[in-house]
Amino acid sequence: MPFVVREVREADEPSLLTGLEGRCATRRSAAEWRWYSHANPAGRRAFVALDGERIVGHYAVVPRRVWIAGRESVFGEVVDAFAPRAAPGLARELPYVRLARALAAAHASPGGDLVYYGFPAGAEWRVANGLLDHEVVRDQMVLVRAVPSASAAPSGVVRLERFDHQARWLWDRCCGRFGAGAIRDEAALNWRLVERPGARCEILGVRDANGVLRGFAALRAGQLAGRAAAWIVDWLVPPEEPDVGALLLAAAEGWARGAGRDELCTVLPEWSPWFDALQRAGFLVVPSGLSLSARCFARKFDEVWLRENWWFTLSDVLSV
Amino acid sequence: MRARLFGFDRLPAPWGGLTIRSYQPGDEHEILATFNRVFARIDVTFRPRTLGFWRWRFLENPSGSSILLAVTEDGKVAGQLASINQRMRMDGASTYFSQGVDQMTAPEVNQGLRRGNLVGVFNNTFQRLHAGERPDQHSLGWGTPVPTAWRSGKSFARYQIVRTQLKLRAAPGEIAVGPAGGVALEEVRAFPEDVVELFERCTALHAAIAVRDKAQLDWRWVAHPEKRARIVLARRGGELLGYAVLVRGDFDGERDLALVADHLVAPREPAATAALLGWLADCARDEGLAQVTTILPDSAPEWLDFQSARFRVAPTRYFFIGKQYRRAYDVRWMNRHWYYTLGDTDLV
Repeated sequence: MPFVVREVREADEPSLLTGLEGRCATRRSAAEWRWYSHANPAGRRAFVALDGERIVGHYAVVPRRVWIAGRESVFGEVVDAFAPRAAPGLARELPYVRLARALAAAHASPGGDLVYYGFPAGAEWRVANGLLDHEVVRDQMVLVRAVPSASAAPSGVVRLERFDHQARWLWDRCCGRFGAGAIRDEAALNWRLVERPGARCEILGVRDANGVLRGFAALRAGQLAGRAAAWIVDWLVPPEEPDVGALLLAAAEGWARGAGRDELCTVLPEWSPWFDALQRAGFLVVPSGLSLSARCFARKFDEVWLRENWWFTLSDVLSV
Repeated sequence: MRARLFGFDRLPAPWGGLTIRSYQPGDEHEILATFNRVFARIDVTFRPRTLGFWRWRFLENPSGSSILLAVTEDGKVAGQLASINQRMRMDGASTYFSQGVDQMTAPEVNQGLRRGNLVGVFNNTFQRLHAGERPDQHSLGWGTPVPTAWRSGKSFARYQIVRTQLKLRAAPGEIAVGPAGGVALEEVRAFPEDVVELFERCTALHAAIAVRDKAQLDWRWVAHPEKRARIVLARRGGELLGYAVLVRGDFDGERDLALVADHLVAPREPAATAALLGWLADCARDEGLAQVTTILPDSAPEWLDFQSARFRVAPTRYFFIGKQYRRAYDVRWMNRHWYYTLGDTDLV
């Protein structure tokens, strides 16, 4: 093939953004590309394919620092992948696969990045599954509840401008139940939920009498899986504190109503006690039409293990 | 990682002493000998399979069965790919699905890639013999494997996940149903002939569904040699609107459940759904069972019907896998259109 595959450089930005325009399902602004490419505290993973000086292909994973089985590692979300067709009738497997394999060769191994994941569909899924060993972690379900027209505002819920060091305290209280999960500390949460250009989340928190964070919910109005709804993008509450969860849910409902949304939705692992608790609170479980898939680089942590152990919320993807 | 050993349908040289062939009458004795030896080693709760159960499952099924064996020179069974066939209706046309069950490899050949090779050989042979677009051929091979079998199946036979399966469950006292006016329930010992008319109506709702006629349902629920099933019909003015089958049993690591083993309701008949769910709750309560549990595809309307009756969704260890034999009907299509219940599986 005439093109060259190499890691992304900062100088690639103009050509890359031109290349991304109209080539990917998600429209990506320059600010958002810089945000995930340069400002991510977990680093950058991206390769481009060049035809001469022109970028004709791109494959990136947005890394997250992950706590897994007692150690820190990296999972990465595949985003903004596009590549030219190899030849008429052959679709785009070859350039696409070359990019993906080059990135994995540089970063992924049992001692390096452990999992690359995403919601590929259609032709992208067929390539990911057939040639890159992506497998289905789960058919992604969405928890959905209609927002009532009126309800009393709960007391004790505060709006957080940013996360501080207490985020890590809360994460440490919760993560013992997770086999794996992206580390929710001050840097990671502010990057994902507060600083994302054009997509800042509303952060609602509950503190105890000493001002210590007992739980939070991050909210954003958006469109996913065919639902224009208020989405709980992230949710971190110890399951043994149902009162905190109830306060946050009531406040989230109020926020959704204020945002003019009829539905409050979220995504949580089915094994979480909160998955059951939210159903008891009136949420229905509906299919999203999306399948969370993963390419696993350590035999022990394959898609079956991830399904049963990975704390996954919408903050782990850039979909909302 | 998928192996690159795919594509052959003959045994490699190290296995020259094994022959791959279809079942022949009389093989069941050697099949059971190997089955009982293999599964006793890996399942502490294993009870030896009886000849009566084997005959019911594979010889008496009105939809038939497909069994491929790896046989040694002295007539011993060293491996098996056995399938329970299902007559299917798919997009209005007849076809077959095959549920892989009792897949086994004798310990002496059950070593890493050698076992994988056998899985590949079996599946390629099955595809060559049985897969195709004719009404008497198979469109999908599927199963609900344990993780080890899944890893082998995806690596050596290109199986894919159709669905990661969730279950619906509720305590009998939690189940709340809507009005069931005009619907009469009748508990029966066998299915009526007009159940096939209900099935035909339901093909309008479910683009892929196993044939549910009297012969099939009586085989599954009346003639079962080990399970006692309670069957109830819902009618309005004599017209059959739905049925449900309740079996007491274990599922997904939980013991002594009221299992909704089969459930079929005509389109747009919420009163029949309500009546049947109410009956299931009453039966579970009468029998002192703490949980009513079932599986359904989340793509079916019943998925929300059950939740509306206060069933809650929970994970299971199971996932449905499939190997497509027809280009137009891949596993994603199956995910959206295939209606099944616990009774379609070998899990109950």
